[in-house]
Amino acid sequence: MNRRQSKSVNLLLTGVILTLGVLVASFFVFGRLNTAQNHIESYAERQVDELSSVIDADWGEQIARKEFATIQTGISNMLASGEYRSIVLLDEQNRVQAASRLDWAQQPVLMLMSDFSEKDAALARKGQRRVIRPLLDRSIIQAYLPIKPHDTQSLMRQQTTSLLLIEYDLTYAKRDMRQDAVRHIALFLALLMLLLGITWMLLDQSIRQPLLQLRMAARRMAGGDLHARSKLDLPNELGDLSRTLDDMAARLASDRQALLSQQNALSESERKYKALFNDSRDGIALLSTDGKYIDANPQYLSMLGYTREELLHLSYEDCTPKRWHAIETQILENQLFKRGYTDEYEKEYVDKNGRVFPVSIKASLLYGEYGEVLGMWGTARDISERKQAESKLLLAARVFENSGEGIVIVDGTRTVVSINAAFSRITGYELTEVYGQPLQFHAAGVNDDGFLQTLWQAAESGGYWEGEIRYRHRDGNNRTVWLTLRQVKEANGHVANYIGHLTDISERRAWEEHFRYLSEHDYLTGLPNRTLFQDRLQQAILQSERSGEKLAVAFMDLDRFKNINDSLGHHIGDKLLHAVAERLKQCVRSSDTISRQGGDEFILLLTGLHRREDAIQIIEHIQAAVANVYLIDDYEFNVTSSVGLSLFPDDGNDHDALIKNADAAMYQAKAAGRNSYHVFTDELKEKAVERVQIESGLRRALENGELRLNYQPQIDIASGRIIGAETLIRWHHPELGVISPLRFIPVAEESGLIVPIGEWILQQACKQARQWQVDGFELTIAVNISAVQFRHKSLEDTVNRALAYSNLPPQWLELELTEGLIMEGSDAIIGIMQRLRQIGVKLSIDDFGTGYSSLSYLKRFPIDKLKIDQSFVRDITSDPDDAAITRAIINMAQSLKLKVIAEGVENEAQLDYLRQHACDEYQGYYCSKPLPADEFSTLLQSMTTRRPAANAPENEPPPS
Amino acid sequence: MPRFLTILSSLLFSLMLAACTAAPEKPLRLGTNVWIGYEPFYLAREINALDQDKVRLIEYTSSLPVLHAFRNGLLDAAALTLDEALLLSQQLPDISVVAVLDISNGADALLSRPEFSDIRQLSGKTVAVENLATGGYLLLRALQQAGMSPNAVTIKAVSADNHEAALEAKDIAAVVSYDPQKTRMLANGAHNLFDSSQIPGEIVDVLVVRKHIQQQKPHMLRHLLKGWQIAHQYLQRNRREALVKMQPRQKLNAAQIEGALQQLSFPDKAQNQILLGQSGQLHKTLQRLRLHMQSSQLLSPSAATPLTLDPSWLQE
Repeated sequence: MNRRQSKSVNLLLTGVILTLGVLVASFFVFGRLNTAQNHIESYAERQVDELSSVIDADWGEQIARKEFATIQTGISNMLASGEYRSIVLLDEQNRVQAASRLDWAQQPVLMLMSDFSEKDAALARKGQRRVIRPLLDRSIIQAYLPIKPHDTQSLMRQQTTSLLLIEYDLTYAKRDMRQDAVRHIALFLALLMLLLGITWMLLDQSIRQPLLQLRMAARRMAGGDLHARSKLDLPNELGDLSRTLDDMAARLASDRQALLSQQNALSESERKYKALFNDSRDGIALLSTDGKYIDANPQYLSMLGYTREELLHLSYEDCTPKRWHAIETQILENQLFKRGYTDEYEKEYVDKNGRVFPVSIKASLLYGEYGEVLGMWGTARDISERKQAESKLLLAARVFENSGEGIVIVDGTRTVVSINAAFSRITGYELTEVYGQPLQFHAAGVNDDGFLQTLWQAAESGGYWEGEIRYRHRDGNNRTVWLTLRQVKEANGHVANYIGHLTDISERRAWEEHFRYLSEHDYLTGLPNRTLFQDRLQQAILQSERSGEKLAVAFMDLDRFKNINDSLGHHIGDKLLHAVAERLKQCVRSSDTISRQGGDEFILLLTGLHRREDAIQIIEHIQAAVANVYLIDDYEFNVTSSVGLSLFPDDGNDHDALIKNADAAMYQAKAAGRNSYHVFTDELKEKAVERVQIESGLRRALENGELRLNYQPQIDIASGRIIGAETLIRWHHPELGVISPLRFIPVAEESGLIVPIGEWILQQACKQARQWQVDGFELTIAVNISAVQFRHKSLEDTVNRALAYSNLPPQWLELELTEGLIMEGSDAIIGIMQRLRQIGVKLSIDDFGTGYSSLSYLKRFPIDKLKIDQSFVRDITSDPDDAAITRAIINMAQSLKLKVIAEGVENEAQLDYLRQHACDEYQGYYCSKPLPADEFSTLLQSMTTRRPAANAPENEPPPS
Repeated sequence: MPRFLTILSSLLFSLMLAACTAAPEKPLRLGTNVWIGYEPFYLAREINALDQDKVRLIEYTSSLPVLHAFRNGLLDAAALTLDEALLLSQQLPDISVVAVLDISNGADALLSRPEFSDIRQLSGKTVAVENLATGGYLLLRALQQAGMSPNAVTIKAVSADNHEAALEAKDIAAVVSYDPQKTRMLANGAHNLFDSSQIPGEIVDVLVVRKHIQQQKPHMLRHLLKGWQIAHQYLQRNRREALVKMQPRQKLNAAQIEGALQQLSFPDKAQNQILLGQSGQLHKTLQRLRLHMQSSQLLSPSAATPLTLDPSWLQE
């Protein structure tokens, strides 16, 4: 280090000379370069001029002859022979005709050369002279040479001017020139160096050597030898310096003596401070103003885990986690550096092992003798334990405050000490309202005092109580909570507190209520459902047994409700049911129960009755109310109901019997023509029994061959011939004897037995008809089809099977449908009828006239024949109304081109009437009652023997 | 003090040296005609693998001016057919072959006007060749293989850039040509009667460099060869871009260039070593070619100066 300094004097001087030399050299070189550059450029221009004269002569001719290949070769040779960047021959439109790059041919030059100047090109063409244009820091020169194409043979110059664009590359020439310049500079510098060498040696003698001597003396003085002297005896400034230095050394030597005695006194006081510093319980550290540790006491070192030596290389920020840096800096700036000390503040330290721990710090500035700031010192105390305790408490407080359960703490005297937010939410009371108050769940008298007494007793003696308790919320509503009360004792066994946990269960209660309601009530009407009804009925029966009063079960069904549902849709149906339910509710007493069983069935439980008539009275009232007009969604409804009534204890002892009997009675009411009520009777009971007998009997009847078919002839009125037969079923019950179809067919329909029975009938009838056909009698065989059978999806198959089985051509089978079925008139039914007709069978409507079929209505149905109900035919000769109806039916049939047959013709007068009014056919006892197959055969035989009768005149009565 | 003086004197010395440095070198001038086999040089220029300050490509449309320029000292190096190189070496012994640039494998062909479909039909007709060497050699070999006499046809020299026009104008019946015009002529209905794939390895193109230039500008020559190799790699790896870059010079579409390339093979460094080496195939080819050219009087019978083959420039 010192060595180098010793050279600096010489270097400085030589450096100055060198710099000057270089400056002169560069000035010289720059000037030279500039001249050379200009020289080069003017040389290039001269060359262009030479070229242009040669080119114009040569190439003008070639261009005229369009010998571009030759020009191309010329260009390439030119490029090879000189320093050109590119050479391009352009036509009038500045399109490349030939160029030093072949891929440029025929392209606009503007696309190829970014620095092409259209202006200069135009200038060259216009003035017919070369234009020179320097480019790119003058290292390229563009020359625009106009060439007039001329043909030597024609000696004509052409109008168009081609342009040769030459780009001279002066780089090489300039590089040459620079090289030249470098050579000159080098020579110059070499001379300079020589000069410098000499200067150096001179300086070394006169300045450097004396300086070295001076330095040696100064160094010894610095090393403490204040008796060293430089003794440089020179007449110049260096000599002066030497003498001054020697004087200074002498002064220093005497000063040092005085200093030593002062120091002894100081070190004594310092020792005292040191003891205070080392023995402090707090860590103490001394730091420089930029935060570097200067010293620290053992407590501080052990806190941070560093040795003193290690710590002195660190700053306080090295021992502080990053996130505290900014905070601490701010504290120091705002407090320490502003007023000289800080308040106690908390931060964290990170020790040598990386452990982070909280500390409490106090810092002060350290002042020197004259009030100048020397550094700072701080005390630090590890507060880990205190912090831990604090955070635990904080956690507990948070748990308390954020608990979802209400928590209340009362002291030994049951006075509220604290509540949490959840408690406030559940009870509606804030801490300020309950603090210091006795805990009063009974505030509103919701719970009786006895209960609370028990509660506290249990909590006091057992230390614990839990259970449901009601309280009044601040908003006035009574609520239910689940309360857990725990006793907390102090170490000495005294009760310190009770802690109560409250869980709000009002909502759960409400849900439970709601679910129970749903499970016991009908969703549509809100009425009790079957389950609840059974409960109520059972309770009512027990009640009645005790009181001796009667009770009634009324089974109610709305008449033809299904039609409404089918035709207007369920939502209308549902609204209607709802309306009906509302009316029912208004009709009964609160002690009675109305329940909906599903569909349009309601059951009513009427209690506290004394006589059967009481029940009937109520039912009549109800039926009247129900029958009032309903207005739903702009529809008006008249709903009638059929009610069956059974009474306890008269008509049944238990709930099942009562309901079943009411149901049976209701059916009776329906059968009696709807809109009526029927009380369960013994007769009904018998019928019920019989019904069961019939149903079980029917199941066997087919297998046992108890069913038989009879046939009633159908006669063509005009000819008197038997043209058909209606099939009628007979059942010979082994015990009950002959049972009328009127009795067993409904049972069969209800039980579904009608389907197999119906199929059997069809098969038998078809087989019989075929038999008669084989025997020579062509008859239409008519078979009644029940509505149930008709709707059953297998009807078509059944018909097809019967026809196939019997081999009967389909046109001889006629299916008789009820007018009721037609009245229903749904598209589905029409569809089935059409499919049956497609099979080929004929369709007729039985008992026509009893319903309300209109002419227009009938048109929709694919039917062949109408059968006039025998009730009209019976009184045809005595009752003008019936006669009129009959005539109307016949007319209607004729207008629809349907056949018409009259049923139940019993005498000649009736037949006459029919014949007069052009009825087509008849059947009835007048001709024959229904006959077994063999007797029918006999009848056919006998009729055939009298065949001529077929040709009898129209008014002649047919033979019987 | 001595250290300072050492520094000073060494500075002095280096300045002296600087003053003595040679004048800057001008770039190596390589001349080529338009030929797909030389296209890698231009591709190298396009992809900036050739430094303009080291290599200048001088573009000619046909090979005759290349030979002229070379002889006149305008060029330092030239891409030539082997026979051209052989002929040139008679006048300029100061050249050597430093690289085989490509091997014609169908690229040179005898094309006839559409009405001729057999080489024998050319009897008595005029056939154009660019120069009597390559063209003549291929034509001779074609006639030989067809069992015809070399005198059966009249040979006319037509420069490559005029081949298409001449054939179109019915001045000639057939022409020995190469790409790009070959592909264009074929596309216009010309028939390929014979091509170099039928005489494998006999028609090659080489890079010829003046020997004194090799000594003066070795780094420039190395730079040229390096660029040539980089262009080959580029051609392999970026085929599509490479074909697009070749289009403006070749005036062919990419598919045609691809087709033309298929009729060539580019020997790499290792293959060059084998070809140019002491017992290399090129020596034999050269020998055969010389004999042939002498017998066809394309070369004086006394011509003995062998064309130097120098594999050292492409050594690893």
